[in-house]
Amino acid sequence: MLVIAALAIAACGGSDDDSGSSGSSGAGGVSTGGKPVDGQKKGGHLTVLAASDVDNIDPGQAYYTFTYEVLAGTINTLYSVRPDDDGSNPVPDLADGQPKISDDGKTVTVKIKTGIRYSPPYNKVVTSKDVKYAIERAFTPAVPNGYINSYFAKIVGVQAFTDGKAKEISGIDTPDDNTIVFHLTGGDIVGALVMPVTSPVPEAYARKYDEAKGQSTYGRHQLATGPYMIKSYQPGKSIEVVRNPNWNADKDYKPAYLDSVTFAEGYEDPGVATRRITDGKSQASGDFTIPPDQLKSLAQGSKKDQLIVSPGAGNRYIGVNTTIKPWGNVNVRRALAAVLNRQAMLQVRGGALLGEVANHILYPTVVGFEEAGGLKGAGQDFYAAPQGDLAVAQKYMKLAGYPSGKGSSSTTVLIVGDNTGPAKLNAEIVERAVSQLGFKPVLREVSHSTMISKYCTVPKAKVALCPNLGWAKDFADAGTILDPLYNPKNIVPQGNVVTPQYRGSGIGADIEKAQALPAGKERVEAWAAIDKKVSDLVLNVPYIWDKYPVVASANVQMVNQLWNQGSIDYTWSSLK
Amino acid sequence: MQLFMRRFREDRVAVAAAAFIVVLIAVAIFSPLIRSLAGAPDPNLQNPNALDVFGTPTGPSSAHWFGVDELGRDVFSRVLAGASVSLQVAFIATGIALVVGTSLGMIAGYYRGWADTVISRAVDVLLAFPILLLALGLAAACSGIDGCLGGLIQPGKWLVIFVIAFVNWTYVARLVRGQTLSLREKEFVEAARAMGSSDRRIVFSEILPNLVAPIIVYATLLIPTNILFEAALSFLGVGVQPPQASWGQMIADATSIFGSAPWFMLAPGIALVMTVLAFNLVGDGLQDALNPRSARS
Repeated sequence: MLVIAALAIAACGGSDDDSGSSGSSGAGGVSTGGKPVDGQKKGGHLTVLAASDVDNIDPGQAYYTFTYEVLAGTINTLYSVRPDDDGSNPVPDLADGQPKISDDGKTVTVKIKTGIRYSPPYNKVVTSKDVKYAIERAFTPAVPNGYINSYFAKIVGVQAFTDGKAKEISGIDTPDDNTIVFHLTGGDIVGALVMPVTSPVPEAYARKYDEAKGQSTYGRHQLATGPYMIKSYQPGKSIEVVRNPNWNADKDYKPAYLDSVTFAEGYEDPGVATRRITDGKSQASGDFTIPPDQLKSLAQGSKKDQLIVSPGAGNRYIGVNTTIKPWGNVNVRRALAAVLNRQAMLQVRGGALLGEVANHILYPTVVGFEEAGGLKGAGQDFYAAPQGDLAVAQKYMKLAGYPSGKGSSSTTVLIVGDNTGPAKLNAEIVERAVSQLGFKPVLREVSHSTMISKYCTVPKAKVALCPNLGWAKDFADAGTILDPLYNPKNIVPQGNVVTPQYRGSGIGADIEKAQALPAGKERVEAWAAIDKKVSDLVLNVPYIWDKYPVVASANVQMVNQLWNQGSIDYTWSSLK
Repeated sequence: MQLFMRRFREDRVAVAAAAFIVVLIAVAIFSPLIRSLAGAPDPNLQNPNALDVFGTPTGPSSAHWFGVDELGRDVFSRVLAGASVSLQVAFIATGIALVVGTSLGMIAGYYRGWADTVISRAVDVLLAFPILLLALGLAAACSGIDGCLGGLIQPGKWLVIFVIAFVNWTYVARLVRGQTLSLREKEFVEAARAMGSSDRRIVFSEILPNLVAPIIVYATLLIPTNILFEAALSFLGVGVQPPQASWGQMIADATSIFGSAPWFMLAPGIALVMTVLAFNLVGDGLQDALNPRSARS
């Protein structure tokens, strides 16, 4: 998923003391992941402070980290991930056991639990047909979904359904109320069965909302199957979740200690929000960036236990538009990678506690990371010096046809970056790197949302470099990073995340080939090879593998979703 | 002139302020030399090694007298560079506002009639806008990657100059119009007209010289306002573009880390206050010296 929020700046260092935290200890003794502990108490109310609203509260449309955090307690996807897992080991949630995969990998059968009931006012029992409807509706214009075509398009009959030639997707069978069978044309669907779109939606209840004019309004009236249900939703203000009276604790692995949770939105001043949380009671941080000075004092001070930094929160990279001169030249791109001070890019974000210097796109915790070179990378000289190496950069500039090793100052390079926070500093470091190559950088700083919506995802905006992009996996498959970012078939006029717009070197064919492989070693190695290729071609310049900080009040036993960038998991957190 | 100089010299505070401005201008012009003598780095040199392990700026030291900013850039060097930007913007924007305002004010006041109506109403309309909001709106509208007016105005220093001049010419025009309306009825103008002088000669030879004193006084008051204006626009993120240094932008950068690095705000803040104060004191001194009716207590 696109990393929309400009993630936090943090700090490392201090003592190695690891007092009292339930998670493991990272740099400076700061906890690197809040895990469940024995004896957590039941009851109480938690308030999660957030700057912004969810992208869409409808599980069929949700695609932001914060939305996943909210929906974690209200929906049951076929499979889900325990909070202390990085996403590699999904467990049955709505499903009753592991999926059965045919020998050719083209048929996936999932049994679902019996007796799971929807929240009021519907109250009926969940059936496999509801899961089928949930997936089908995500292929309709009324339920725009950001990933459905990437992960579910290989179900037989999808094309006919989306073309309007079939009323249902023929490749999804529901032989009985507790069985759903996916027939595939190839590839792997199992990993994607953790996505919110696999949570059941009863057609009899939802159709009237799905057929409303324009976009479906089901999200505002949605039913819950999880331990909590949405009591009220005021966009941009608050989301209140309370216990679902129809939830059966015996059929769910989530403990659901808390009685209720309020997501209070509109906390646009992260400093105020952070102070309120750390000084107050029963509160936790949602989507906002914790200011660097507060993070520093938290990491060093007596409130260290209230801060948790989670690894595997995504990558950060400079989007490079290869259709604009001189970035079509691979050696110029390599020169940029060589001269960029990636250590400084990390340092201004908070240093080692908040990440590692990246040298390829896949990041730690993603399956295939080790096969792609792990922390060391593939050994290219242009990624060798984290502080940047001008001599290596000049070598590549000469190879690119600039005999002096420097580009022409008459060549302007349009860079569009964020106008606030550490992202702004990152953009200014990139600006300097471009000028070190001899080109004339023109840096335009705009708000993050403007940068995304108007410039860096709009090919006709002709932006050369976008320094503030990032991506996090959707589930434990490297394809959830490499396909959306590099597959030429995903190049679109609006909302384009294939920033390089690169169609050469057989990248598209490689990706299609990897997508067609069933889960397993061969698939992992195929993605690792693609990662090496795109990193070698410097289709984007990776600079950080992220870690993500969250804070909570002292009386909160914080448990984090390692699979969801470290967001607080309120279905596992509790009050002390 | 001698009377003016004598009266101005008597105002010691104004003289001291004028001396400060002279020094400031010298600093702005010779900042690379001063940096080099002080052994300070280039204002745009990013040095992450100067940040602490948490990535936050370190305070004043022998290597960095005023500390470093969030990119490890030397604050001393950037304050020097900021002086140049502030003065350039203030002088150029004030100059443009004076030329445009004086020209239009004289046309309105001398010719009256439809010219006066059009110019005065335009001034009234512009003055009806909340100035900072208008400037912010203009600056924001032109801060996109394409600039505005078909790309003629690009984000950066020149946009700030344009915005400030666009806002400020109205005050000058109103002042000059009023003065011109009064001067055009004076006997020496009547005499020139009776002698057959052309309008152009009357305006440039009779009226304009009599406007110089109030214009100079007003300019000295406008310059500090414009310095603050530039700082405000840069503070609000629509001013000069990075990596160019600006006091307002430095103060904005410092606010987010004020808790851990209060000294970061100190240097550009003091520079800004001192500069504005100096111009205001000189303005007051000039006003007193040029106005024979003013009495100093």
